[in-house]
Amino acid sequence: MPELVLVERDPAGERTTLERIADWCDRWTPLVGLDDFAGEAGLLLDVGGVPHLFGGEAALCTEIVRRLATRGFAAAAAIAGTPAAARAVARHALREGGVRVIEAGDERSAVAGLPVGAIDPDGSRVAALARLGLKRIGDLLERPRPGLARRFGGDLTARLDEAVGLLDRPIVPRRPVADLVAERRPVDPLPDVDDCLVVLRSLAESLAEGLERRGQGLRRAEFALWRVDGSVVRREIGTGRPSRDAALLTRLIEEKLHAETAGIDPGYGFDLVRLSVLAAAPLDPTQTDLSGDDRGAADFDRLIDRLGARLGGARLAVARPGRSRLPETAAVARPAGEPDRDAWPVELPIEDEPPARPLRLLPRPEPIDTLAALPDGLPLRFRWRRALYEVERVEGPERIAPEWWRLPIVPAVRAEEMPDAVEAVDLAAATRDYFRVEERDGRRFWIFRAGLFGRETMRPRWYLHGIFG
Amino acid sequence: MWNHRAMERAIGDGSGLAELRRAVAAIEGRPTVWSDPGTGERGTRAAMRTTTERHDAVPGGVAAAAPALAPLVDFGLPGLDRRLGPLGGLAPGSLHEIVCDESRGAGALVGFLAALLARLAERRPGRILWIATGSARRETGGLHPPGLAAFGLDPNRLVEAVVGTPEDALWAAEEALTCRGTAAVVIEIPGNPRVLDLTATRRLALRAAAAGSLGLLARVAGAGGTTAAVTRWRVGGRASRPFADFPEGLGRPAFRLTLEKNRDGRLGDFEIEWDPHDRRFALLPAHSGAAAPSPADRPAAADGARILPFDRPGTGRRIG
Repeated sequence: MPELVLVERDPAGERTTLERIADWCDRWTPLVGLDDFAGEAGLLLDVGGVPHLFGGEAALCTEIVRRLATRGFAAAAAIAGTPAAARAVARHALREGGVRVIEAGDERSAVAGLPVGAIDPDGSRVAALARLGLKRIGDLLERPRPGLARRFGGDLTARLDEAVGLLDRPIVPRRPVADLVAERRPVDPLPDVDDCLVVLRSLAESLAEGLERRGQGLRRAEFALWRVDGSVVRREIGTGRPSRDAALLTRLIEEKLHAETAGIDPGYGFDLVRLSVLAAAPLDPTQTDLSGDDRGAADFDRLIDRLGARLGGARLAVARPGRSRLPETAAVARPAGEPDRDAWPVELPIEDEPPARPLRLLPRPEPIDTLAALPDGLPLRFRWRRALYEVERVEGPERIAPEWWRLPIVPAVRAEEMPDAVEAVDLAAATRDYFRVEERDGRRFWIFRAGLFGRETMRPRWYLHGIFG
Repeated sequence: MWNHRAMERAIGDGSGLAELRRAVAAIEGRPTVWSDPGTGERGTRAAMRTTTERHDAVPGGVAAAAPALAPLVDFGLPGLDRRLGPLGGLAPGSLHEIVCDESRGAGALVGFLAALLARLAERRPGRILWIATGSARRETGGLHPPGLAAFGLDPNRLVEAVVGTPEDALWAAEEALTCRGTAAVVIEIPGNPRVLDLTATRRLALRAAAAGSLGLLARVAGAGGTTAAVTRWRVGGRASRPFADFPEGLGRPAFRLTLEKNRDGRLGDFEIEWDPHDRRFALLPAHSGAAAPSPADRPAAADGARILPFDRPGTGRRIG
């Protein structure tokens, strides 16, 4: 057979494709779950309250299967009272492209003729049942339940109940379900992202009304654009404080869209635009009337939202005290949008003392060649980034010991076995003696000697870590 | 509250419609009235008078309420403040440039900025947005909050935006200058990228003027081509004066300042010291390494004995 080409199955690729299809299926209902029943690809959609939008259940099924087919996917779809019944019918009763709607109460007859494997993913149990002549679901349904449960486990009877509609197992949606959703399906696809923006603006207005009725403001929202060819563009936006200002929302969406360096490819256009509220918080209706400082703070929060939408929130940071005594972890950067807590303690600087910490800290300590009077003495001159500095004034040392409780236990070493340079140890594990120095031209630096002479190393190394004002 | 009193004073002092118009413009926060060279001598004097009275009447904390009558931040050094135009300090709605020669001088640059911001934060509410390009952070390190606190600037007031390119920095700065909730916007762009030209800085200056905000353009190793900034300060390190109880050690942070461009006043060289505890600048006596000022250059005694202005050849010229 010379034409036969063997291709290895690609589970990860299949999974990605299924997720993309699931994304696309969001257009029918926000409640889409991935179905990994017995290792076969499937999707479960909760369409409660949805079909009338698409001309009834049968029309909805047909539409889904037809649209998937035009994108090259063979599918079958069934609607039933429980996910298990729909799954069993779609997988085992329908051919490619098939569609069936099972009316409420008809589940039993619909699944009775199907193989047991349609509701039970446990292969060995299915085989054991088959040896007893119980091959079809109908065979099991005729048997007394207590006996089946005793012999084959309670979950088998539960699966039977699910299949015939006696027990419901809700679909687990793969995406968070939005609080409020506004969407528009234009008659003709929108050819451009800017057209979508116009639609999104009116969606934002209707969401703002909905939020106002609930006395809420938006914290997080997602907008999604469905391309005609089946791919979905989804982006999230967030606000620093609850808001239902449609103009602000539109602005954030705009920033987000414009931040895309490559731009969003509209393909053949977009046929569905949706804006969903993912998180909302109470917002006092009178809060629109701010004054003074409050207004300034609200303005600033909006600025942070806008910059964050374009630059990415993590790039806007406030400093919070870190939990470590090491200078490099003395401060941690937190996203600017998040609420203030663990604020920096407000202390007046000590009177008549030069600042103890530098204004700038280098990303990592940079090695410097240093001349000191003694191996453990004060620095006299040093070379940093190819320039030589004569030390005029010096204060120190300030000893910053490594946080021994975070380090592995190392046995003590004798002097002759000691490493020459501290690199052999570890910068994080060496004791540091910090010095504030001022050089001849009035520049001030923070330098340290790493490694205790005679105890940790025979040749301490010097580093420049910070720059003083 | 205070606005009304200022208005009454302005009306009472002068007479006629022109004074009233100026007072109204001032209350509405239109700084152009005062920086416009065509305004005339009289209006300028009135502004200065109300400014001094304000200091007597309500010490500190009200600058934000009447942006046009008081500077956003001053040095507290009359000899220096007076060069910055009638308001005596950095006026609201203006863009200023602070440069240093080399990246190893970034400490002095940030020190001077932090000191200015510490003074500003005392009298103006709101957050300070510090925009920096990633390259600036890699070259000279990030801001170290404990160091800022030790310098007298509350790190809680600061929000840092680290952006990828100078273009992003300028875009973010324009947005930030428009926002009335910012106390000041620092734009740190190292070197001399082409986008940082007259047009871009003029856009920043216009945004600042429209919103009455303060923009501080920090340029490490910036050559200082033509920009739309009102002033340009060149900052360098200066040997500190040790404290008497520890002569070998370091003193308070000290800087060499050159006001090398000033649209509203004279230029000059200064050596100053920063006291983080009191958030105060002090002028230093001549540094041994610097050229000694000739006594003839000393200004009137009103400025105090510690002033060291050696007026440069450009003194008195208006450079825009």
